[in-house]
Amino acid sequence: MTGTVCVTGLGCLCGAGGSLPEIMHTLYAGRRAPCAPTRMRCEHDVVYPVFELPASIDLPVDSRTNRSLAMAVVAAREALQQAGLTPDLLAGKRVGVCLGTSTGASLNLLDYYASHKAGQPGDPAEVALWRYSNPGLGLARILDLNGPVQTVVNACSSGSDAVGIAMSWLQQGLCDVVLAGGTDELSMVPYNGFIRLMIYDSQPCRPFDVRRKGLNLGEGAGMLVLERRSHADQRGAGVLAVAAGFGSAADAHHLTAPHPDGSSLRRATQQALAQVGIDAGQVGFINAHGTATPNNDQAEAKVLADIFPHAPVVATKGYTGHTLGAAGAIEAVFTVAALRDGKLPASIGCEQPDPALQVTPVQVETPVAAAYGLTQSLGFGGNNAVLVFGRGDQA
Amino acid sequence: MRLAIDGLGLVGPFGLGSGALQAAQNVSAMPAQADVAELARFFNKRELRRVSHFCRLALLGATLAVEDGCFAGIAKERIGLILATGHGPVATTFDFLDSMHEFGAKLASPTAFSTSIHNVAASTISIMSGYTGPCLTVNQFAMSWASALLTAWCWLAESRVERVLVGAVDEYQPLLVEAARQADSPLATGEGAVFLALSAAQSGRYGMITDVAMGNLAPPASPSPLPYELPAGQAFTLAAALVNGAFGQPLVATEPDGAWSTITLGPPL
Repeated sequence: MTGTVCVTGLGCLCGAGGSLPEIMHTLYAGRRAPCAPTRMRCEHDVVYPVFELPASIDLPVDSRTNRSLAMAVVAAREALQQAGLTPDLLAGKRVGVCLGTSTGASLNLLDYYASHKAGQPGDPAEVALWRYSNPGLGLARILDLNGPVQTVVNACSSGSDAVGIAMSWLQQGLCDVVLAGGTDELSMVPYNGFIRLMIYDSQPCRPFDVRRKGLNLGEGAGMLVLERRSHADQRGAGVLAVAAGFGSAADAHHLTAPHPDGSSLRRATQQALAQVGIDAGQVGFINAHGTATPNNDQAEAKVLADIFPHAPVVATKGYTGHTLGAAGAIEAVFTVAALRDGKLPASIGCEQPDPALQVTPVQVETPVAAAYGLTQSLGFGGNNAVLVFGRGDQA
Repeated sequence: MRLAIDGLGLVGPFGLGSGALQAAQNVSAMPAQADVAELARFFNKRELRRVSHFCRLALLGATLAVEDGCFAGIAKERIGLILATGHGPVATTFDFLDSMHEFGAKLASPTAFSTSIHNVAASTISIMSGYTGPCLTVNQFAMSWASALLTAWCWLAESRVERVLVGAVDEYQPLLVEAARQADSPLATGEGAVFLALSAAQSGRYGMITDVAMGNLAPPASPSPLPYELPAGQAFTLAAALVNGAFGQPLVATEPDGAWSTITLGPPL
């Protein structure tokens, strides 16, 4: 079975806001709010900034729902509402869940471990919280969905991979609808880990900027409701975009650095374009991974300059921070929103584009009349994932 | 659905390979950990020097499956890799927590951090074996394995790859065993690796996977777990069914919150 896969709902929350309309308003206004972490300790000599959810957002956390799962639930409900999919309409359907995460599924039992080291019994509630908060399984349980579930843990490309896999599930007839996306909360583990790897900027992050010194972490979730065009038509749903192409390839190079020539990113891009059946010149803009680490931006720029010498590039992590397993999904949501809105936000943080890179991301809000938008993710371990979305009126 | 099983790589406390697994089926007690010394046949000491036990389990299982499954002549970019894990790299995760606890955040170990990332084992296989096709890690307790097989089937059906190496990997860690004892839900804490070399051929040397189903409602009855059960679901159950030639009976895995999966095997044609 094959068929066009459509996006019929979007949901998002991150450091730039609690819903997609609020977030896009923040992005187009060119505002960002990096801050010192308030929910975790910073024990370093410098306070490294993070992008936390606005304090006004009340997440539905409980003894079986950690922050990552709670964010996934909020984003999923927003996306389902836009898609017009109520619990009644979902009942009896094969509804898949495919979510990327990193911290959200990790065994980061910080307090339990500290108790263990102190010779004290740990709090079993912390273990139970981990046991029941797996983002994919938890979302299916909370929303009472019946279908395949996959929690993708491909480091920073998890969210993009999850969306691409969900497309395959639909094209192969495994599901009627898939909630696809990613979610990740802030945690002491990646915070200290990236600082110790010396790829964490003590200033707000500066993607593709000559002064860039690394990433800032953020938290959030991005969610897309995907369904086959025939299914969307049958129920009279509005189509926001076509989820048109996906490519994935591994560097087989290094655990923590991308391949400097970007050969596998190039191959993933070509796979995604081939699936859509378009050439690179038909891609109207690119949402770059743009972590602001020296290595990432260099490898990414090389490939972008070679394949898309004329397409505008936007880097949005300056607004959200790097949300790890959620990043690819959040940026997929932004890509669909930019196609719909016909404009790209300024790439905040990039004030002095690095002349050594052959890519200069847009520095002001930029109109785009694009039929297709592309978003790419690179992850630890050498994963490269590329998604192509088409405007909804092409479905 | 048809997935041909062309190669098998088995590593567990019972030993290596299908003969050792078959012999272990009537044994009720076994060591907690698997011996991975066989890796020396494929990689030198220098290559393995910084490879954690979790990654060694995965690397050995994958390498045995490739050796068994005849991958000669297949371009490395046409080989997909999917690793299912119930818990991920537990020991290196605790190592990083340990370094934070012992030395403080300012001196926490960056090496322990980078080797505690969930996809470290799949990436290690990809890097050490040169596989540049799609590489995926799935982590959702007992539901990991069935979910990995579904995506493997999609990749082959779409001709993204010619072969998929699908593995289930988990490691024993005493602190997690203790944590599981305190938690209010069952948690398998076994160790090992099960890798299958899969293709879209009409028949596989070991048999076929003819159906994989997952859901959240009305779970089927689940049999007693095997003594060497992995957190990553029914991987060893599937391996045992293959070596016993027990086809046709759905292999069930369940989660305490209601999620379930079944895998059905067919014989070689």
